Amino acid sequence: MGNLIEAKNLCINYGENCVVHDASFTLAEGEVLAIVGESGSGKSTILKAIMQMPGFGVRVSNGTIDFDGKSLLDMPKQQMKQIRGKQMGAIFQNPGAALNPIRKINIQFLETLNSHERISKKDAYKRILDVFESLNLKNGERILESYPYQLSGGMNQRVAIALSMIMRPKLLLADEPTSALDVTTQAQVVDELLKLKNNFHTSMIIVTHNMGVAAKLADKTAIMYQGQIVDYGPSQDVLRNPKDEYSKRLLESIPKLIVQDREEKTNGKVVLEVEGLSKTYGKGKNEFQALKPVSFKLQEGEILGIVGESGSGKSTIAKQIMRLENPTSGAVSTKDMVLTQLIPSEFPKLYKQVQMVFQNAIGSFDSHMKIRASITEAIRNITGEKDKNKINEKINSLMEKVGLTPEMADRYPHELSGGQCQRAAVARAISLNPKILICDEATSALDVSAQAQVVKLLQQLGREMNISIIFICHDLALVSDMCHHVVVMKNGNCVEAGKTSEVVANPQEGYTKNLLNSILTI
Amino acid sequence: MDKVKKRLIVFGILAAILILFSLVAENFAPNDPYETDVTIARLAPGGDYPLGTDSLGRCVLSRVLAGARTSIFSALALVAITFVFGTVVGIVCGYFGGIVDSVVMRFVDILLAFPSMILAIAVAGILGGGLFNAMLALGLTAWTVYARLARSHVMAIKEEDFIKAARINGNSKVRIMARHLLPNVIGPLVVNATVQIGSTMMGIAGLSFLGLGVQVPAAEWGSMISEARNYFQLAPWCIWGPGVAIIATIMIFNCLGDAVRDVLDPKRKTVE
Amino acid sequence: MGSFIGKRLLQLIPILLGVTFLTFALLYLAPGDPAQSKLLSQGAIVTDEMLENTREDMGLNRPFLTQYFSWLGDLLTGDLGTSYHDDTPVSDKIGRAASATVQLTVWSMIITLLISIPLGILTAVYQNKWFDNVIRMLTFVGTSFPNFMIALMLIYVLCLKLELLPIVTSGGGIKGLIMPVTTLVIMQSSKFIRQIRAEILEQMSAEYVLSARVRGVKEVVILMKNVLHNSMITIITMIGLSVGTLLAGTAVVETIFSWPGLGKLVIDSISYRDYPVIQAFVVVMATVYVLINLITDICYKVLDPRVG
Repeated sequence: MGNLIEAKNLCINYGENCVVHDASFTLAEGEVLAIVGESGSGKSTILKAIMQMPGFGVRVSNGTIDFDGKSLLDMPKQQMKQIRGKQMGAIFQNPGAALNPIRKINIQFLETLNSHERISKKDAYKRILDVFESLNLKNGERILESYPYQLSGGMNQRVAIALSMIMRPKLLLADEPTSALDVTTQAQVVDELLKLKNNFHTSMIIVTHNMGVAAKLADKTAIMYQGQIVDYGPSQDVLRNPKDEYSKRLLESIPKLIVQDREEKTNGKVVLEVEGLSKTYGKGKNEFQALKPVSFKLQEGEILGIVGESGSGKSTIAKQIMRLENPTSGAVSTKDMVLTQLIPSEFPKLYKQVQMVFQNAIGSFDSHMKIRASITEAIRNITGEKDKNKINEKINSLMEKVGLTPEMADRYPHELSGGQCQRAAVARAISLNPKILICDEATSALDVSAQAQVVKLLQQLGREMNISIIFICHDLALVSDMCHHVVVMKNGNCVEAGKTSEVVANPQEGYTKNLLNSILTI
Repeated sequence: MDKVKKRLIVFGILAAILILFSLVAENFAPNDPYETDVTIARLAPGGDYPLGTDSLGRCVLSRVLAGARTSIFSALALVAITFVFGTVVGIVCGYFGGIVDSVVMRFVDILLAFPSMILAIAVAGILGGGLFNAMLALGLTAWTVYARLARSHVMAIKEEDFIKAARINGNSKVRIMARHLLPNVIGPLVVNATVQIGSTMMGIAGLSFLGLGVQVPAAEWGSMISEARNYFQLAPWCIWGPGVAIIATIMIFNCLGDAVRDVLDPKRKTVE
Repeated sequence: MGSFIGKRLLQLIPILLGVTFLTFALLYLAPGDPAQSKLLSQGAIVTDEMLENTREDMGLNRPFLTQYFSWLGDLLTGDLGTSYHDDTPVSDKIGRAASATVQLTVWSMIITLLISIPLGILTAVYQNKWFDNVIRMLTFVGTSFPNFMIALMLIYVLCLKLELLPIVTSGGGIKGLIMPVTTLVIMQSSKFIRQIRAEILEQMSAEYVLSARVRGVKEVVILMKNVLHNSMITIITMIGLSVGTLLAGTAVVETIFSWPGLGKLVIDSISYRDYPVIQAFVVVMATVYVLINLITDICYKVLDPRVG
C-alpha cells in the first residue's frame, strides 16, 4: 500500500508566527495516525494545513504535503475543493459544530450528497442508513427526522462522523473528536471510529490530548511539543517506551487506574457531614431535581472524590455546601456549626472554614484585577486584616508555597498559564487557612502535566496544613490515584460510595463498572 | 497600532473638538443670533451673512453656531443620564433577581410595548413642548435599553466562577456589583451609549422639528429647520445651514459609535 | 402551534393592560386638569362654574381607577371618547386617518424589504469589494440623515429643482404616496442593509458553514438554504422592532407632506390640546406594534424549531 499522506519538513505559520517547525510524517492507506500533545503544541495546526481551507489563516511556509502522490500545496483551488468534499472528511471538537442547528439532519445529509453527485432520494436514504448501520447507529430513520438540538452531544458527534463519511472519503481528519464528551460517550465515539478503521479501511489523522484515545485507535503516534514532533513511530513504541525526555514526563503525568488502600492514613475524625442534601431547581412544570438526597462524611486529612459525568449533580453538591445556592433539603455540618442553617450575614464564618477552587482557573479571577488584588480581597474581607504590608507579605509567602514567584501575583489572570492560575487560585483559597477545600473539577481543564502538578500540590498542602479535600472530578482514574474515599454520582443520585480501593477493585453497580470500562488505558 | 484603534482615536478627537467647539461656538457668531430685522429678511448667502438670513432677518450662521451647544449637549446629557440610570437598574435587577426584578422587568416590557418615538411625541405633546420636556419624553423609554442589556449580561456572568469566587471570599453584594460586575458588563453598555448619541440627537431634533422640542426663538437646529420649512421654496438656505450641521454632527458621532463598537465589542452587530 | 399562539396572546393581556393604564395616566401629565384642557381646547374662557360642570360631565369626580376602567370599557367596545376640539367621536377621526397611514407604512415596508434583502445579501457575499464599499458608504450616510432632512432634500431635488412632482398632493392617491414612501424607504433601508449584511456575515463564519464547506457542499446551497434561513430569524426580529421607528417616521413625513394619516392627525391634535385623540393614537400605535411583534414571534417559531 502506498502512502496517502506524505508530509515533509512542514513549517506552518499563523501570520508571522511560526507554530509548527519541520514536521514530517506519513500515513499509509487504512492507517490511523494520532497526533498528541498539550495545548499550544501546534497539533491542530497540522490538520488545518492539510485541509487547506481558506479562512483558517494558516500558511505553509516550508515543506510539502502530498495527498495520494499529488502535492496539496500546489493544487488549484477548484481541485482542492473536490478533494475536500469527496476524499477528505473532517470532524471537530464541538459536537454541534458540524450541523446546522435549525435544519433536520436528513436535509444536511442530502445536501452533502447532492453537492457531489446526482442521486435519487431513495438511493440516498439507503446509502445514509447503510453508513449508520455500519457505525452501529440505531434508529437511523428517527435520527434523520430529528433536529440536532433534539439529540445528545455524543449522538451529534456520531452523526457528524457519519456525515463526514457519507462520501466514503479515504482520509478522515478528526480534531479532538472526543474532548467535549463525557467518558462513557467518549468510549462510544472511539468505538465508532474503530469501526470506520476496520469496516471501511479509512485512513485517519486524529488530533487529541488524550493518550488513551491514541493508544486505542492509532497505529502510529506523533507526540508534539512546542511546534515540533518530538516522538514519532508505532503507537506501542511511542506510548510505552518514549525516547524523548518531554514525552516521558508527559506520559508519566497521565493518571492511571490503581487500587491502593489509603485508609490507615486518616484518623477517622469527621470534619464535614452531609446528610440527605438535595436540590431542586424551578417550579411546577419546570421542576428539576438536580440532586437527590445524598449523604456522606469527610474525614480529617482525607481526600474524598466525587465522580460523575456532566449532569450527575456533583457540582451541585459543592454549590450547596458553599451556600452559593440554598439547598432544598438536608443538612451540612462541621464540628462547630450547621452550614445549612447559617443566615447570609454569618457566611464569612463558613468561608473561613471551607474554601473552594473552581474548574476554570483563569475565569475564577476577575479579569480586571491583578491576582494580588483578588487575594487581598479574600484576606481583608474574611480575616479583617487591614495592614497592606502584612497582607502582601502573606501573599508572597503563599505564592511561594504553591510554587509560584511573588512577582506573578502582580500579573493579570490571563497573563498566567492555566496551571499557574490554578495554583494562584489554590493560594487564594488557603490564604484563609480553611479546614476544608472543595475542588470542583479543578484540574479538568488543565493539560496533563499541569494537572499532575496541581494534584501533587493539593496532596502536599492537605498533609502539611491538615486540610481535608473534596475532589470533584469526572476522571475515575485520577480519583483512584489520589482519593481515600469516593462517591459515584449519576443523574443526581449517589449510585455507589465507599473506600476508593474497594470501589475500583470491586464495583457493585453497573454504572460504576461502565465508568471503569470507559477508561482508556495506554 | 491597528486600523480599528486608529479610527477610534481619529473620531474620538473629532467628537471632542466638536463638543468643545460647541461650548464656545456662540462667540464666533458674526452677528447677533437673536436680533431680528425684517428689512433684511431671507437674504441669500453672502456678504455679512455667509449662510443667509431667515424670515425675521436673523443670521443663519450665527443661529447655527448658537444652537450647537443646545443640540449637542442635550443629546449627550440625555444619553449620560439614561445610561447611568439604566445600567444601575439593570445590574441590580440582574444580580438580585426575584420579585424586584420581575416587577421592574414587567414595567420595562410595558414601556417597550410603545414605539419609543410615538410615546415621546405623545408625552412631549401633552407636557407642552420645551427642551426639558422633550428630553424627559425621550428618556422615558431610552433607559430601558441599558437596563435590559446590563441585566442580561449580569445574569450571564453572575454564574461565572469569578463571581462565585468573589462571594466565597466574603465580598458584600454592593462590592460585587460595583467592583466585579460593573467593570465586566460596562463594555457593551458604553458601546451602546456611543451608538445612541447620534440617534438621540435625531430624536431631539425630530421632536423640535415637530414643534415639540426647543421653542422659538431659542436657536436649536431641529427647530430652526422646522421654522424654515414654511418658506422652504423662498429661502432653502435657512434649512441647509442647520441641516448640514446636524447631519455632520450625527455622522461624526455615528462614526465614533461604530469605532467604539469595533474596538470594545468586535463580535457584536449593529444594534437597533 | 395553536397553543403557542394562545399562550402568547395570553401574555399580551397584562402588557396591553399596562399600556392602556399608562396611556390613560398620560392625561394627567397635562398642565391643569382634563376639564380645563377640554374647555381651553374649545377656546372657551374658563370660569370655576364651567369647570365644575365639565368635571361632572366628564366623570372626573370619580376615583381614578373607576375612571380608568370605564375608559377601558369604552375602549374595548371601540369607543375612543369624543374630541375635546370639536366633540366628534375620536374613533371616526382615527379610522379615517388610519387607512392613509396603513397605505404609507405597508408600501414603505414592502419596498424597503425588496431593496434591503438582496442588497444585504450581495454586500455580505461581496464583502470589501467595491460594490460593498459603495453601498456601505451610502447606507452610512443614510443612517445619519434625520428623516425630516431626507424629506426636505427630496422636495428640494424632485419638486423644486427637477419639478417632477408637486410639493403638496393632499387627498392621497398614488402620486401623493411617492415622496413620503421614498423618504421612509431611504430611512429604513439604510438601517436594514447594514443589519442584514452584518447578520449574514456572522452566520457565514459559523462553524456549521465551515463544516459544510469541508464536506464540499455547494456554496449556493450553503448561502441560500443554510445561511439565509438562520439569518432570517434575526432579520425577522429586526423588522418587527423597526416597525416602531417606521410608525414614528410617519408622523414626520405626514406632517411634511400633508398626508392625512395618524401622524398628521396627532400633531394637529397636539396643537389643539385635543388629548383624547392623542391617547387614542398612542393606544392604537402601541397595540399595532405589540401585535406585529407577536407576528414576528410566530414567524420566529416557524423558522426556528428550537423555540418551544
